[in-house]
Amino acid sequence: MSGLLKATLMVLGAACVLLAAGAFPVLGAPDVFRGGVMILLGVVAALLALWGGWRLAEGMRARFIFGLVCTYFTASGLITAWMYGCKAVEHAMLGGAMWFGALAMLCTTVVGVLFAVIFGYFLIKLMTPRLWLAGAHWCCTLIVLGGMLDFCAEKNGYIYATAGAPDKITEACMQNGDKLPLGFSLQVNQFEVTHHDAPAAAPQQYHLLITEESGQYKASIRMADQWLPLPEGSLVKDGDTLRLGNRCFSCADVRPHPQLDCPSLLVSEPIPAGVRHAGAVKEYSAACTVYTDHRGRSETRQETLRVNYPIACKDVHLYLLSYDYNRLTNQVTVVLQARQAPGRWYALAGMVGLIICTACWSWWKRPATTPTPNNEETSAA
Amino acid sequence: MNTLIYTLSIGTLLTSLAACVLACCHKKEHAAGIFLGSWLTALALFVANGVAAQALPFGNMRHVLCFFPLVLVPAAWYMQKFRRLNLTAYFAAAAVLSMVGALCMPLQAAWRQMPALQSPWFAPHVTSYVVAYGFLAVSAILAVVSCCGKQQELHLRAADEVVTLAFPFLTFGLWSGALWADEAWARYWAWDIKEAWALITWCVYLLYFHIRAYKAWAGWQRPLLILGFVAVLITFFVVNLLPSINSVHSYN
Repeated sequence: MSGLLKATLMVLGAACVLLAAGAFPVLGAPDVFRGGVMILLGVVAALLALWGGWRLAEGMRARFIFGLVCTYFTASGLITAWMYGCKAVEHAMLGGAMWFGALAMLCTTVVGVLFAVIFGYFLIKLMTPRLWLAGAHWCCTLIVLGGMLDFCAEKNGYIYATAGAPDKITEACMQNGDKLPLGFSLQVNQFEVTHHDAPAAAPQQYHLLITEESGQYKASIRMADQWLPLPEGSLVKDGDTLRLGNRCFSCADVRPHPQLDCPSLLVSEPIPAGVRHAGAVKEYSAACTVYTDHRGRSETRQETLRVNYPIACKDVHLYLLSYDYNRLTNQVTVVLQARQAPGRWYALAGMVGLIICTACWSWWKRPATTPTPNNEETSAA
Repeated sequence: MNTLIYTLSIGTLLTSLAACVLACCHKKEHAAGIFLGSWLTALALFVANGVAAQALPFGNMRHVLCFFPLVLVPAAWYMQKFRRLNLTAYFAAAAVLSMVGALCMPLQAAWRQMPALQSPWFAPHVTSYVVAYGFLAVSAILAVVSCCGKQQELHLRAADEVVTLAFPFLTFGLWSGALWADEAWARYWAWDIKEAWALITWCVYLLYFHIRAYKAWAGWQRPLLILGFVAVLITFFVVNLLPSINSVHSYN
């Protein structure tokens, strides 16, 4: 057995043992996964995969490299054709002047298809199962490289934005308390939630009552047909202003009322659509405005953030993580995650490549099993 | 609807069992016909589950287990037609096992797809894993049979053929999950327990392919095939069913 294969077996065996050690629910230690030994194993595995791929392509290395380039262009062509094809259909369905846009996108789709056909033809001629296997090895290296880069340099920050608030967000807060500058500003205009099936008798209105008794201000909200006083400290008096969470009220608005024996302020407004119901959430989305600049010129973009559909701006990816409806203030806080991951593209390219290479190695140009003289014998019993 | 789902589940189980028995008795033609019948009942079961759930019926383990016969029957046909291996008995046995598992699970017909699952990755990710696990179950059965039967080499070769076909599905399932997580959870790998076990499974089969390249270590092929399937079972059942496990993959 070659030294390379022996080393690979040892690394794989060690990886399995380490992974199992960290993955046992009771005795396991999840920290194992981010520990030094695992990182070292990852580096060794990446180097072995790189070397293994090179060895597998022995005698056909130029062909292998050119094959990988063709794979890249074929995949790019297919992805371009798919993305622009979908956009072309979307534009065409809008009709009117959008037809011009649809035609332009159709041209790009055709270019993508041409790329896929031309380089795909070379790919079919060049690659063999052995070369696909070598490609799969290199893709493993790419995944580990991307993972390591992200492990060392990935930055994540969280943004808690109030839907409909006028303030622009320019930075995210990282877990260690540091700020992550976004490089652009963001405003969450609207937040929408859809439910699978919402109960009909859900409250539609938000009622807040602020009362003043001998200089002391108290707040209550209407829930389940009764007034519930808010905990002490939730309503803060700051000069002539009363603060409840993000909301501000003027003390001057707390006036005597004929039906109440103390000055009061009643705030009645509709509960934001979507958060009224308690049914199972189907989807939620945040309509945002992104203010950025492109070559010195300011640019404004309207984007809709949805779960599974992040947006990207200036190397920062924004994800819609969650939301929180505050019953006390009748406000929706949208939780976003800003992410700068320098290794992301390497890792994702490696994953896509690995899927393609493994499938081609296993299924493509594979001879059928030699039939046995009596096929009955090959069968079950 | 529940009665219909139970009837179809039992129907699929019985037809798969009949196909398995007939294939074991060397009645190939009859076995193939009955197995096709089991596919039809499995299709009806899939539709019934979908109607009850008002969504793609991949919401719980029962739904997924009921989906196995739907992919195992075409897989058996493919093996016979294109790989010239008549493995109907093994595929039918795997279908029987999956249906027994499904009938042991509580019937949770209603299912509401949560936002993170509303992705184009959802159906291909689950389907590829079901195909891969189905094939790997067959390979494990073949590996066990090859330990004691007459034609040990033949069975082992068939197991190897099945694993080679299954591995790209397993790879797709694992890495498509990572690609999906990158969009949904803002990270492609979270070291969640389900992910860790899926990676262990993948690594065990990787180990198998590397050992296969070296003839002197051929004796390790059978234990690795069985070990790989044990890892599959842990990934699929233990991680989902153990109440003490807190996984981001638990949606119920």
